[in-house]
Amino acid sequence: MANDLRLEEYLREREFPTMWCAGCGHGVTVKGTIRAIAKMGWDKDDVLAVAGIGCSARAPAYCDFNSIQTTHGRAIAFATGMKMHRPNLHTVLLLGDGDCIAIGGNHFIHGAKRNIDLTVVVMNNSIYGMTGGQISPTTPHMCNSSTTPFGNFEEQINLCDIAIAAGATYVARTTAYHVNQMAALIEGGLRNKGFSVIEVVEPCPTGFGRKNEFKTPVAMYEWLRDAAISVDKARDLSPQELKNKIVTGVLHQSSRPEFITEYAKMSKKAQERAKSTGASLELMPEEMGKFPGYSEVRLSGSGGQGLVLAGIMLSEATIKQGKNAAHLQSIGPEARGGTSRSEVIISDGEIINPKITAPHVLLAMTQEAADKYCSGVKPEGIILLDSTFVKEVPTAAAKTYQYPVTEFARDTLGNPLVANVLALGILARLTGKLSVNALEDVVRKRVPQRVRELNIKALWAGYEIGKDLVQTDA
Amino acid sequence: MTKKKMQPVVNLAWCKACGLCIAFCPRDVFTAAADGRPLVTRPDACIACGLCDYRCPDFAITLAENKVGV
Ligand SMILES: Cc1ncc(C[n+]2csc(CCOP(=O)(O)OP(=O)(O)O)c2C)c(N)n1
Ligand code: SF4
Repeated sequence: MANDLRLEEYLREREFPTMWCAGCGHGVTVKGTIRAIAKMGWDKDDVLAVAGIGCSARAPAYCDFNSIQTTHGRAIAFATGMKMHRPNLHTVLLLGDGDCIAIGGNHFIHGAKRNIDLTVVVMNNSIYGMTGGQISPTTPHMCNSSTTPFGNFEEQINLCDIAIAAGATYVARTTAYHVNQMAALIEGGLRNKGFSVIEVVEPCPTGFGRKNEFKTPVAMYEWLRDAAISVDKARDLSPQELKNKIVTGVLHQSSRPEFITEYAKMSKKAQERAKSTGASLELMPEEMGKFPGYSEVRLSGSGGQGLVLAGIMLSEATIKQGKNAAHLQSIGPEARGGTSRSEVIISDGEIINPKITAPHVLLAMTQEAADKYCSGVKPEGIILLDSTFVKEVPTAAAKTYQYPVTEFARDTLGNPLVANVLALGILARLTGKLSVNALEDVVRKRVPQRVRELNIKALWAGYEIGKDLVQTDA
Repeated sequence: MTKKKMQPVVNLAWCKACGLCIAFCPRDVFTAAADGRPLVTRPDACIACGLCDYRCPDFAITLAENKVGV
């Protein structure tokens, strides 16, 4: 019923009037989306609206939901991350056709393949509106655009067919003229627990209409009204007869496992496995207590020192101990010799942000890294400098240890490449954060056969060196 | 039970004169003003289908109780 819905409650009125041209279909689709959400009876704060870039991307700004505008084509990737982190947020994407199926095509395919519980409303106006009416993959055959003044000789893409082929579990199409059908179809998408696509064929009177002999916005809506044909009627027509028609209704509905549910199952399984393989070995009592609960580790040096791998192994060992880990790596533009940084968060609880702020633990394996990062370490933290390369010790509040890590790896162990694992062994002892046994398991799995024993030797050698460092210190 | 009589109300500050409400109202409730914006000239004919509201791209039309025509 028209009057049950108090639309103004869902709007950010301060943002109005909209930036869209007169008659632009984007506003109509936003309204249909709001009607569908209202019908679900969801609290506004439990809804997340996600957009990419384009005229379409203004859509979430007008709605009073949690909202985010991302980068062009990447809305599904962003939404995947957000949905993984907050599975209870009802996540709706409002995407332009260019955003969704041109630059964002691969994300679209993989979202459908994963059947992740997102509702993607594609505001298909046959054109790149914002940038001046260039063709999009959805521009119909022989239509004009600013880049095809003599007509588009390419066939248009059928994004619904792509969604179906890739594995979406709810796929529907409607137009901006068919407003009640639109609200109902979007509602169907919201109800589906999986990847839902609702294509709304819309007018862009400015970028598309004027170049294609639609004199007014009204003429464009008449076109949508007349070109639409229901999926039931379309079944009896030949492809020839369906040319220039817009087939509307629910095109596909199916049921299969949803990504986030499957992920949760796998995560549980992995945690149980880690426990049963004894990976969560007890820490030695005297090692407990340093940085309890949460700590940030930065491994820094230059490309080729194996710091990215060290970060991965540290994270895996952490997870094996039943804790949470997040790993970020950053490699300078040079593959070898440039700066390299690997950052790990070790936490008993949930990790909200994978980015570290002030590390508790720093390993610096070049002078440059030491100069750059020592001062940022927490005062109660620990620094390990590879004195093979760090000749000048920067001033820092944190406790600083020095050891010629690379030199020991090269001269005593016979291979400088095991310096990374040697350093992990030292850190395991200095911080008491990690069980060496868990690290050993990971090293065994991660490094190639021919250097496996050498790496394990390096790990335990590091652990002994760590002991000495702590003792000398005491 | 008496049914409330509804009629469209146009927020001229948000209206961009696209003409959709005028063209597609099943009861011809609107006529175009000189600037193309809708005037609600036949409020009593309104059947409260809500299509003008739903189709208005600018959120500029709502249905409100018709106080005069009761
Ligand atoms: C990475 C990147 N490439 C290109 C652009 C330029 N750009 C901005 S909007 C747009 C197309 C938008 O078209 P569509 O997604 O169909 O939305 P509409 O504007 O029609 O609503 C493009 C190519 C950009 N912002 N970022
Ligand atoms: S250019 Fe097209 S898509 Fe952009 S606001 Fe105008 S009508 Fe809408």
